[in-house]
Amino acid sequence: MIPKIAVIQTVNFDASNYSEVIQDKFVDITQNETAYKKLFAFNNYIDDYDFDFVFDSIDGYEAWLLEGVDTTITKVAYDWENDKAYITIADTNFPGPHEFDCTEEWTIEDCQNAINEKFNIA
Amino acid sequence: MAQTVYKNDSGQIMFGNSGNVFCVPYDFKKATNNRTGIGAWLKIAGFEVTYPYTLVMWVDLQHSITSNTNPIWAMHSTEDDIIVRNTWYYGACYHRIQLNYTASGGGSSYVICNLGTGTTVEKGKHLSVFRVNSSNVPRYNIDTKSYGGSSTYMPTDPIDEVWLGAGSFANSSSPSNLAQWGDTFNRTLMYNRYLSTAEILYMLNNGSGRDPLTKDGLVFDIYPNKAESLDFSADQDGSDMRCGIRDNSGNLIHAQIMGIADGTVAEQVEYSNTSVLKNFID
Repeated sequence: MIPKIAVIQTVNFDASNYSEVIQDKFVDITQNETAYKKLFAFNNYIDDYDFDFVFDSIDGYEAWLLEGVDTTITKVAYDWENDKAYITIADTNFPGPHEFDCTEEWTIEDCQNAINEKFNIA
Repeated sequence: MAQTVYKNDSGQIMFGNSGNVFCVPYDFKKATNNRTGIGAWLKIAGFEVTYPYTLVMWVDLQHSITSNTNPIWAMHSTEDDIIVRNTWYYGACYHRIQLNYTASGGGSSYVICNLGTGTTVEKGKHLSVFRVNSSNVPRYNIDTKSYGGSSTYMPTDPIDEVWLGAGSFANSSSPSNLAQWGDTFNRTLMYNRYLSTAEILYMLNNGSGRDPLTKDGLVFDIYPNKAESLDFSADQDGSDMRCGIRDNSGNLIHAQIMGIADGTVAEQVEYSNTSVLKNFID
């Protein structure tokens, strides 16, 4: 058995098309402003069924999610005992808080630059 | 056929639960992360402790821990939606004895057993001990997303979940941080009392796998030698079967294996025994 991750656009999703074992295991996700149903299951519940994308690893799935990451900053918190900044973003898949080393309060531009660097956004 | 007596890294002979000497090969198992899946972790629920309490856990770290984003375990109180999470400065306890250590960010009224060497926890096998004898324990504040300070100390709310190999920043229901790839976890015990230093040293000196000095106050005893289909229902009527690891304390507080692919329980058990659990002592 091989675990896989598969997604199908919500508008095309019909639970009855899939095995009864996993029909209630789909979860809602959003990628690049498009709604999907995601299934994390063994390959026998994925290989012979209809999906838009199938991923063999979490890395591949996360790379796909990152294609549409929303880096809008929603919250910034600091831990001065440990010199850390914790930045939360609007993306539903990677909201954070994302931790950064920080010795003084950052401007919103500093925060955005740190987030952009983390997600490799130029 | 002659058997070879197993010895740990310190040359000590090891004993099993029954008192028998371990021989080579001995099939140690443990829970580990499997990044091919999403990252397995263990969730232990169905109990409740308030201080004093002690969590003892054998771990084998494949990386040095230099950040607090590599959780080995986390404790959760659903009553107040708070999390106590291990970091080296918030209560983890590792090899190389240095007792009566006071964690930074914490008060002096609680004593932790820090077996680390400063701010970095070195890779290798460790006995992680977290013992609490007062409410003055740093906790992660869900609202402020921060640690430390007296305002974030843990109140008297009971701990009712322990996560092994996972911690959380984002919320209290599912982990957003997992132990680093390859970190493994062996026998883990929770007591509803403050274990003495002598009891901790006994476990440390005898190595992973041996029974504790006493089972007085033992809440759960997760010894991850194999995954099983276990009954998690309150009535023990078979109505809630899940893939898990048996609690050897007799209290039926089994650990559920989380983060594995969906399928039947039988499929999850088979997968866990082949891919999630592997030898703790190589």
